[in-house]
Amino acid sequence: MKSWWSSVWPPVVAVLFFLAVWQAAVSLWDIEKYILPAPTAIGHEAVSGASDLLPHALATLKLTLIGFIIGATIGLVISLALHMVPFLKTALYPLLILSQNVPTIALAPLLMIWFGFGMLPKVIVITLVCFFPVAVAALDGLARTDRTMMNYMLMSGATSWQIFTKLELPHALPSIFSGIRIAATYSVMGAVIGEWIGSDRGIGYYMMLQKSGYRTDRVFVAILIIVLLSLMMVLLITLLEKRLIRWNRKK
Amino acid sequence: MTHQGSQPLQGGHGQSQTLTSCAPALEVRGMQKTFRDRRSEIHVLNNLSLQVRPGEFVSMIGPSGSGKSTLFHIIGGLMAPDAGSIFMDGQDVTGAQGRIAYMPQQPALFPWRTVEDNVLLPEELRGTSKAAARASARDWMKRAGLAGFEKAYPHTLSGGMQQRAAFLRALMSPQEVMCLDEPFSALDALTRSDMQRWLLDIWEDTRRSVLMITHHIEEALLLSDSIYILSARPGTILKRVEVPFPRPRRDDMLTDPSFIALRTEISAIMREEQHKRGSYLE
Repeated sequence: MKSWWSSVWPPVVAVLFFLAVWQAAVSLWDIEKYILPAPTAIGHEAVSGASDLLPHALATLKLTLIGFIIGATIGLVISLALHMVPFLKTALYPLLILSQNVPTIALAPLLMIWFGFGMLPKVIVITLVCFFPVAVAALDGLARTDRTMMNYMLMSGATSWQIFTKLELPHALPSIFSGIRIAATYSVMGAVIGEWIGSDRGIGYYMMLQKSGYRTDRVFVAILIIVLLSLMMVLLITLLEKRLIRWNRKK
Repeated sequence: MTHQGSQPLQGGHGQSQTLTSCAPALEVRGMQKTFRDRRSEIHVLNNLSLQVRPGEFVSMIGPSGSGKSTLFHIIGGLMAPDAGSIFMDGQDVTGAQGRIAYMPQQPALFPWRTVEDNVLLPEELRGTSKAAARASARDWMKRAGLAGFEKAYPHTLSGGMQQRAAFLRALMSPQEVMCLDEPFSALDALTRSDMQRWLLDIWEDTRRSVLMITHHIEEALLLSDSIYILSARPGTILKRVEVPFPRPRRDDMLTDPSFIALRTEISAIMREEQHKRGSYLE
């Protein structure tokens, strides 16, 4: 408990210090509210605007979860397919890596043209940003199976299905989870970008709206909510990971 | 754990009877293996032949890099020999996987399985129910000093305990022939001699056919019925030594003059081999 506290208080103090400097700077130089609102003003706006914000936050959360689940699932399926069929891996893996040079955000307007302003194009954006880290991490984990354990399984006459389920998959699980964790934070970003480009609800939409009205304090509130959503996703994944990976891998 | 080998033999038969005529449990005939890549060729095994009779404990001893592990990989069906074949009970099983119970040099327990589930892995691979094997696994774990650790994960165990669990995993395998690849090389001297004693007791009760790789002359003499001395690369059999001591083996055997004579003889052969090839420092 004591050591936990000793690792927690320095960043907390750092954040408080940063906020204090911000607050002091705003009042000292009398900075206009539409340029940089003080932390207290943002806090005030967050509380008073909470009821307006809640539906937007929920809409973004829903979009994020749907896109994340679809994206992560597709990433896993791709990695398993490439792992099980080595020819597919040699053929497609370089393309997979190359595909990441296309900035997904650049595709978003195109997706809006093709699929309209509904949920579909946004889910596709999130899927595109989510599948890649999962697929690459899973492929990497599956390819790094411990050689001695593999030899043991082969010499014991394990079938390839047994090798996959009893060795490769559990061995790759920590690696898969690190990919999923990255995808979880990306998914929030994907959702917000999707909403920027075309939507009538969600935090991204709210941000754009408030930006037009120079309500900088509300833009800050929106950023705060995005950060909280990201943290929530990571927390969710970490809890899931703790449940699934009971053994302690110390390296 | 190191009881003095005073238990009555459950197998009941002495060495002289087990070594009778029937087909060897494992026979390696004329094994040849060369590794090639673009630049170089490494001749690893050269016409190597050996036999393990049913219920016999056989050791292979030789300098580093004499292809002992390669031989195991061939016996286990991981790679094909250039020439030669593997016979088990008179059947040609060259290239077949799943014919041996294997204990690797590192314990290689699966970290996501409890110790008990690791020991039960061979049962699972065979497709039998774990429940049926659980009782006997528990029994063996108790004998291995692993009682109370059934539900522990391997990383919480000491090196010696992990090795014992890995040995039990091989012991629980349905295959008759056990191949042990330097089972104790990663352990400190004290743990090692404990483990030798422990293995000896368990083996004398079960009498599986064993082929063990070791670097350690005393270990080979203590445990084995016969010892094959390997040359440096390319590995071939220099000499086969019968170990004449009666079973159950006793600790005072280590100070027996004939034991010391045998040890001296083997170590002289090995030293001469190393000098001849000058290959020990590779």
